[in-house]
Amino acid sequence: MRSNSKTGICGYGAYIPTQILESQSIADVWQRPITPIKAKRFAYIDEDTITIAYEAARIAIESSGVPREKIGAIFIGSESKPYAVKPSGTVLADALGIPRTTLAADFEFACKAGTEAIQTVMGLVSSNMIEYGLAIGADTAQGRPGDDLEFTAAAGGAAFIIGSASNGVIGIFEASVSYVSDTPDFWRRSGEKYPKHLHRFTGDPAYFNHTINAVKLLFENYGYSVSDFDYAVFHQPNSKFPQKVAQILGFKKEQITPGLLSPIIGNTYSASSLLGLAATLDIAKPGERILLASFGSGAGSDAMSILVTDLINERRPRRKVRDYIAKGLIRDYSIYVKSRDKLFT
Amino acid sequence: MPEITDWRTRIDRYRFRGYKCLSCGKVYFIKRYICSNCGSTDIKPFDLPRRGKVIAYSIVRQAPDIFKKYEPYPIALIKLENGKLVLSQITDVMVDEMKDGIEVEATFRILYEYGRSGHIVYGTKFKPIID
Amino acid sequence: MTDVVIIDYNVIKVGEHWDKSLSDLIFEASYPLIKKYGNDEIKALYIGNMLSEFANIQSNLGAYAADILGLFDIDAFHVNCAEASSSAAIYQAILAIKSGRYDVVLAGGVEKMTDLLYRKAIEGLSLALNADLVRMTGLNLASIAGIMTKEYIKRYNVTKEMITSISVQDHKNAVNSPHAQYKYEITIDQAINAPPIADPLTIYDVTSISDGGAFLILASREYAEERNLPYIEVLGVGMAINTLSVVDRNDILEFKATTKACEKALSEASINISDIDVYEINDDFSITGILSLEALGVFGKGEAAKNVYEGKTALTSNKPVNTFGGLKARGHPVGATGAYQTAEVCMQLMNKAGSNQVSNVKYGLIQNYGGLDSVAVVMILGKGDLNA
Repeated sequence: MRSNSKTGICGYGAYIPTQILESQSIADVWQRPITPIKAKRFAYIDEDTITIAYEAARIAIESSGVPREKIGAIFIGSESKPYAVKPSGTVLADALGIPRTTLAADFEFACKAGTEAIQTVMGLVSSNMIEYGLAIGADTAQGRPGDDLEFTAAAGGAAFIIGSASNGVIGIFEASVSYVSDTPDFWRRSGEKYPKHLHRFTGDPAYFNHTINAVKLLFENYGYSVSDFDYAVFHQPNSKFPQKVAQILGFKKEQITPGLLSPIIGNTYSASSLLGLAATLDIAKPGERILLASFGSGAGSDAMSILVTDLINERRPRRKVRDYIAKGLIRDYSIYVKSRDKLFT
Repeated sequence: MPEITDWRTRIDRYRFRGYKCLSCGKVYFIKRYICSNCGSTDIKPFDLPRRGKVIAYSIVRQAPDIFKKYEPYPIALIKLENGKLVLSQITDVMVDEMKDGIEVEATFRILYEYGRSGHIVYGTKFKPIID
Repeated sequence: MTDVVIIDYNVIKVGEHWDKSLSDLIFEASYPLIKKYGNDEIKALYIGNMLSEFANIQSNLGAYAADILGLFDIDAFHVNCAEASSSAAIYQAILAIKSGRYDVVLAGGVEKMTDLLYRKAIEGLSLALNADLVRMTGLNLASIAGIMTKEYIKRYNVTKEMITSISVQDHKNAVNSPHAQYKYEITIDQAINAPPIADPLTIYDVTSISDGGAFLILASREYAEERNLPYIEVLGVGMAINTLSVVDRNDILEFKATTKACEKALSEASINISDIDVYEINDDFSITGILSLEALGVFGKGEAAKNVYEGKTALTSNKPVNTFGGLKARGHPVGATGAYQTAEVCMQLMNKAGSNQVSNVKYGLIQNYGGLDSVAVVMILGKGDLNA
């Protein structure tokens, strides 16, 4: 999709919890082999998707320099929104001082809910319905105890303030596409605490099919090729999938490394590809181009191209992804279980 | 209904605000109607600094019912960057990891919830700045 | 204005009275006095109580108490000033008699805390502090006292043992105190190494949950003299307020309300703090006992802990403090504590303190506060006419 007037990222912010659970701890309890993911970050007992979204949004607003009064939408994409009925966005609006006249909605499309939020804000901004919008991907993923996905189900958030490219942006959204189909790779029924998945089926028919098709669609429709991009950021449910899809598409290891976080923080679900984007923007130079391809189970992929501008050097957030990754508190499985509310009746 | 009190007081909790007397500049943590320094009623809320230092902390081991899930937790007397003293829960660390004198920063967290099906009440706590 | 005197008192043993209800305690504490002085004589009653709505689902305590006592033609008031309720009730009684409206008044307090589980009772006590502050932080009183303790230790370079020694002293005095809850001695070591409540405070730095009731009969001097009744003189009373938001005070270690209340009381009595022979002070926590002594001017800032530790406030010293065990060992049935303190000073002044008798007591002081000194009452009693 290409809009009539260009939009872009005015500022961004990331949040990754301090609590760390090493895969070895999980492996020890469940007597399973450990995965290539070394550790994951999990939400503390008093954190949830709303608190994580707030921390990321706060940094995004600060680094963008955009006055809060001009933000007209708050969209949070998540699989772990605290209320089935009550928008997370209104809590954030009151907490951040965003005016009462804002649009606020929670988006769901598994792990690509955050990029859905971005595309929707792009539409609202380019149509002049709003001046600036806040798109967030945040999750406190629910890992079923003893399941493979427990190694990777993690927590984190990334927020983006989106405005018209003519207002001064650090990255321009040049184009975006979506590619979806009804695919039963991974899901969670209403009222259920943990999701279910179809193991190997989540690979080729789901993650790879949709991600590759979305990227190909973006390339075909807008005349891009691999060589146009300096970086690629993919959804990161584990450490293998993003590296494999990068290879299939023709990207080199160095191009995905800045945005590849899952080996140390796990799969942050709706924040996964967006945290990768934030980490890439943390080091990208003006004129460089980033490919972002998210994936959400159910299933679909959003692919977009982002052109970094000169403004990037003036608007980097005060806290970067690597600042979060450099610090943390290593916990054992028992503290993890207590924090993630698995003990409370 | 406590949910209604929580709703009425939410903005100060969410944004970590204090109250300042616009006549003499005295700062309060909790809302005041009349300045105890100069008697003015021109007192307005403002955003407090979000960083500070723990002057002294203690531990709550018998929490009010709604906070029971989180006990034990540290309560700290914090001196903010502008010199104002405030009280706050400290989060992210176990009670035996707490020390006096550490640098802390404000963070938006769940304060409590009215059970599994009740409202979640958010507010501001402080967490150690880990280096 | 009429002189006000105290002519009698009655106290119940402080303890966990599982089998007694709030009404039982009210009846037991006050009926002996009603019987003695006659229904017709007593024209008003003031009952201090902090937690009846929260703990016992009972409000309207003035009428409730009057109903229990079968007194329907009197003025009856429930006085709630948090943990200072009964000293405030006594203050109200004093004002009422001073106004000339009544000759004889029943005043005191009752508290039934054991209907609450420990955690809930602690939550109830926090009602005395600013509710917004409590709800946004999850604090309890003990955690504030813990913070004060650390700040005091740091500022004045003393040890925790020195502060806790006031609890050790309380327990020692309670051994021969007939109405005390905990009649056993403890050592400093025991106190320091006991289970934590709000680190660095242990169970021996904080008061427990108690049930109790204490009442006094106050009268005009003429009434007492006409009937040849021995009496204690009320020489001075003072009350003052400090902000409930403890963190907005200029100094968290200063009990300004106690200081002001004391100044007013001393001024009315025309004496100095150094004239006081016995002190019943509000040590709901070991640190608050220390800070109260400093706020009253008994010791200078930063000096009280050292002095208590060195025995300068022991029963046998010239500044005996909490001669029947204080809040820690006699017990702290919150809304009734002030009445216990007042009765205890009367016991000293009337030479009825038994093994705990201090010699040559001429003036006694009661300091009772609520909500960590957000409301403070100080009373000064003197030896009146005991030759009846």
